[in-house]
Amino acid sequence: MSTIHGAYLELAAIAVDFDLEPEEARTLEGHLATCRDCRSRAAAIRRDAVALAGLSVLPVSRQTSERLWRGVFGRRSSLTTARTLALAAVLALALLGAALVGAAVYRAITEDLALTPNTPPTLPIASPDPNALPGYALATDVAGQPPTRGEVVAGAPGGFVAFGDISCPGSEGGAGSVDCQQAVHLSPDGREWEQLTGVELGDVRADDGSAGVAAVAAGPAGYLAVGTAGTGDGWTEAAWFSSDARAWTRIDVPDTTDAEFSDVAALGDAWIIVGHRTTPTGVTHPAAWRSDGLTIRPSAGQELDPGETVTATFDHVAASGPAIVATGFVVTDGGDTSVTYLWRSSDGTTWDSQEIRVDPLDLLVVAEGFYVPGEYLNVHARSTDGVTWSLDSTLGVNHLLGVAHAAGLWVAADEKDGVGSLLGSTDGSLWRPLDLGSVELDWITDGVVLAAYGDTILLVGSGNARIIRVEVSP
Amino acid sequence: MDGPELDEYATDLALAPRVVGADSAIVAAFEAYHAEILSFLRRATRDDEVAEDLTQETFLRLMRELRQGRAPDNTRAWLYRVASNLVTSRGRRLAVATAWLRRQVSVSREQHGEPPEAGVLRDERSAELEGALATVSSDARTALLLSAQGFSGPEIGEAIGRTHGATRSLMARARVSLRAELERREVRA
Repeated sequence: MSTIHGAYLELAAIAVDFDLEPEEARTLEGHLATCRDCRSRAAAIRRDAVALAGLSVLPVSRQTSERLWRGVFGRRSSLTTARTLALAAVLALALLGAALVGAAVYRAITEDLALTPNTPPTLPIASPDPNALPGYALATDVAGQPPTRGEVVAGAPGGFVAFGDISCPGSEGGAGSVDCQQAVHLSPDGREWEQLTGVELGDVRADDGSAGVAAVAAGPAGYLAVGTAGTGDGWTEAAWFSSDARAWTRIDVPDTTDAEFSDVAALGDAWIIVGHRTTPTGVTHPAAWRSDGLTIRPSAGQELDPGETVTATFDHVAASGPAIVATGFVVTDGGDTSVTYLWRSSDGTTWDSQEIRVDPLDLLVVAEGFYVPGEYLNVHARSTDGVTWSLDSTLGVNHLLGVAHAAGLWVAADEKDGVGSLLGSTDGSLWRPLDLGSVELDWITDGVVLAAYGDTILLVGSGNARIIRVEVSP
Repeated sequence: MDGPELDEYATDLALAPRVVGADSAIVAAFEAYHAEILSFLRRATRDDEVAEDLTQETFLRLMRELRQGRAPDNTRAWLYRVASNLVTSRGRRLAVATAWLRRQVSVSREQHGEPPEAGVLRDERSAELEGALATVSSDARTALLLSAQGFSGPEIGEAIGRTHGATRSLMARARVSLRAELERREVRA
């Protein structure tokens, strides 16, 4: 084929995918009108395009689909599980009309599907029978002066400690508005509350609610709370220590310019604080600090992020045995890709990281192991040592708002289409609705904080003055 | 402890509607499109393992989009764009170009022209087309496959990260080259 004809053929090929300029179109038409061979080849090129569009989708084996599913969701396929459940739901209707026939059909269906059970969780669970939740009772009665807005609620030795707003003089009283002072509230059981007086946390809340206590952790030596404090002219990271949850002392914090505390965990007689720090060059990286209750000093090295990282943060931290685990995000590809990471350390200074396909809502220590509930997508992660993690499906949950565990009962606050619900589980994997009785839940989608102490799980509204107690009967 | 047994799931009728309704977006997308995205990537990369990796990455990116509240308007189109972008990015990262392509083309059709799970291709015409497709460059192949999925030229350019002019040129030459290869095969046959 001559170069001249080749140029026309390229024009004909371009016309398959693009609109030709009028001049190009006229030129092509003119040439094709006089060149039978080019006409034939141009038609063949158009036929090739049609043939390409007609190529069938290559078959995918069940094994390949399963492998892909595990790669994406980190668990065995729940497609088939969901299908089975759908079939089971349909079957339930059939059973109403023809129990015996329905049962036979059901057996046939389930035997035919021959499903593989979900990946077993690696942690011991309270009960092997998901149909047998421990006994529980829900209550909303409170006495004393409970927090009107539970920003932080932590189960602690001796009961619950909560940081929440109290009255906001001179303002409309909205939580999170300027001049709203935070106060400490204590309760031995979640019902009787005491608002501590004379406790100066020294913070004035910002309009956007960014100031205040962010997290508190209890250890053998006492309590450490971390967050942000300010006077209206600016805010800085702050920490408060208490040996008894009643008398709180603000600790001197080293220069935390461009740093933020996110979470704190007790580590023996000390604490580890995690968050992030932004360098003068604009790189945000995970950061950790240690505290003995008297001072705070930087702990982690400053080069935790890979070279490509533009942003990385620690969001949650927990310690169990010799392991310290943190969750966070790494943003790469110029900000286009956000990847969830787990970090593990034995000393709070040197951290090993691994990507995890869970959207962490929280990081819990359960049964001497770690549990990372996923906010979305029904996946959670577990590990006994912080090194080896298993992902498993979280069945029955839509949008997780919070999770806590006490006395063999897991309780989750969940939301779907703006409607809140409370779910119970014996293993953190398979959830079922709790019997609410007369308890109203319409507020939990505004924000809820969960905490556990003893046999009680507490749900405190972070947007209003509501408390629900779930008392477990082991 | 063993995982919950089938019967425990299946008989948990109270949970069924909730579970079936959960994860709808990502599960529905995976169920609806993973086969065709994998198929597209197999053809684009000529490498089953790489295709699986890229399919996985494509859906992981969709997961991240969804969990960040950015549901694509057209999920299928979004998946193809991301998948093709992954192919071209990968190609550039590996400096694919000629050496990689030559290696791919030299791989026998027994291995790639008929993927292990594909079985016999639909017909001889399809087999010839698949074989000819393997002879064009990775980016060109990706572009032609996107076109086969109904993407316009400008959309393809955006997906593979090339300018309008570069995409026009790439695709035109690819189509002419594909035609020439098919004619060579017809002559040999």
